[in-house]
Amino acid sequence: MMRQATLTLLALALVLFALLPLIVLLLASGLPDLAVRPEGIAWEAFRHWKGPRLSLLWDPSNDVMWVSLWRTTWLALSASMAASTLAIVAAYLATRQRSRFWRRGTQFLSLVAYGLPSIFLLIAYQPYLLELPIEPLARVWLLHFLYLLPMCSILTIGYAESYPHLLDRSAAIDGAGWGERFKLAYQGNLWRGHLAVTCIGTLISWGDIVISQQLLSGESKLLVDLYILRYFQNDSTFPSYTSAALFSLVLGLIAIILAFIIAATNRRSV
Amino acid sequence: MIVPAENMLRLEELSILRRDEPPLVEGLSIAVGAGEILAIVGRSGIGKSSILNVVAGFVTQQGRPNASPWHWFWRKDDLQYQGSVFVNGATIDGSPPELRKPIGMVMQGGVVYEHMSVLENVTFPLRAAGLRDAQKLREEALRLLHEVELFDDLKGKALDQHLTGKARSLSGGERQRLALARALAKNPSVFLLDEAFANLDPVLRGDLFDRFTRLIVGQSRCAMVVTHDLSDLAKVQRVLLLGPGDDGPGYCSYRRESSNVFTIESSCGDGSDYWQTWHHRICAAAAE
Repeated sequence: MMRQATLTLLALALVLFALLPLIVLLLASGLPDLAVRPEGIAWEAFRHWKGPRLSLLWDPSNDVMWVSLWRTTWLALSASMAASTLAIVAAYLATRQRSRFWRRGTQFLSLVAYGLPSIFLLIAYQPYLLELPIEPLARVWLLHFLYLLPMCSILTIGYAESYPHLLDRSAAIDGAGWGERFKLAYQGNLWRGHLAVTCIGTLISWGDIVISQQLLSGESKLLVDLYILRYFQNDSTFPSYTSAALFSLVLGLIAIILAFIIAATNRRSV
Repeated sequence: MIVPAENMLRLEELSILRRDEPPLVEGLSIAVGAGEILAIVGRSGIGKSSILNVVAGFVTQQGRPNASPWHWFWRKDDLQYQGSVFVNGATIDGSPPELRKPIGMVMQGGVVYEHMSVLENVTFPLRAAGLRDAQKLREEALRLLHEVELFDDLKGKALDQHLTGKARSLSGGERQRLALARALAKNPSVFLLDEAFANLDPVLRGDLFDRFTRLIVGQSRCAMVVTHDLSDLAKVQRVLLLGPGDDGPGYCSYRRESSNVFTIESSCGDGSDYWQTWHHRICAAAAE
């Protein structure tokens, strides 16, 4: 029974991953592409970078960055599909391989899968969403939603497959309904590791949003002593979208590393 | 003369079907009365646990939709059954495991929720049933633990420490008792034990089985017990032997006639070596 629920969650997550960029696309439909010429250290570094470029976003002939909804949607969709594939592989491995090594590997895969779409979605949509004529709080919630949703669904998939069958049956015959049994699995197998990761991810995403907001509004006071903010502030120009995106990327990577450390040290209780 | 007990659990024409394979069990009809323990024996993979799973509600009746709301999404069941299961005279076919209130089950090895405390483990079925009063839950937990004689010798702070300690710290025997106490919390009239006391040392196993027998016989319950250890047969009233037959799976049931004799209730298999060997084993176990 739990297996069925797991697969349902997997399907739900896949649908969410596939639909998420489209939902955002629909939400923001009708808005024009933005031609941005950001300034700042990160943008200068990007312009003078001799290696491979993400030319999808950059128009070298006009020296502008096109924050295009269509392009970024395509990017996010690709990342989502890649993440979904990883999630399926993770679920498959979790089902077929029960050794500690593979379980740890599966956890890592599921965390990477969570990280990819989150980061891509943030990078892709953050500049655009910041331009949306909506209340700042609504903007924060939208970003928060984008960041948190894929993470939660992937984490759920990553672990639900390893839900102990006997435990589920035992809880069922003890009179626990489906919801209680799922809660049991959450508390038992997810709480210490992945719920902690979710919290860390949430904090980072909030911090990311707050910092980005403060940087962009020029009112950064709270975290002014942080080295990274000094780095940005020492730059005389206004922090760029690219800086914000890179900042998101760095934070996302930190989240993944932290998640991996926690997952690696997390012991399943059953 | 043994007076037939009132049937608490009745299986009628039970067949357990496997997808793309011959049936696991075919045409099994048996009733277990109050105060009776029915041991199910036979070689591995013959369908002993599947019978318990049918009674517990983990196997879907053929032609009936799966009780799980997610069933449509996933796959067809590997096992289905034909026939009917009656508890206290009423059919329970089609009801999901969580709604089978008269049935308690102890899984193989005695499953405990390791991340929960001992207290939370014992009271899990009560909390699932909606009881929230902490004081009542504690009282009930102490009563149940007393029934399985777990932490009986502890009092005060030491008892509290054990009750609030995680179940993962318990020894094998303590886990089995805890699982038994949890099954008792539902106050079921029908017990299912799926090799619940396996992998325990013989002394502890015998001790736990004795306790279990007292709980069944003394409180007018009944039980179906899957076992590989034939020494358990010395303590049961009925035995169901499963095996292969000429025309598909067969079965043979025994009833205790006296303290050391089993008599055959129903015709036994096809007379092959399998049935004869098991017949001798069962009779020898009864005589021990």
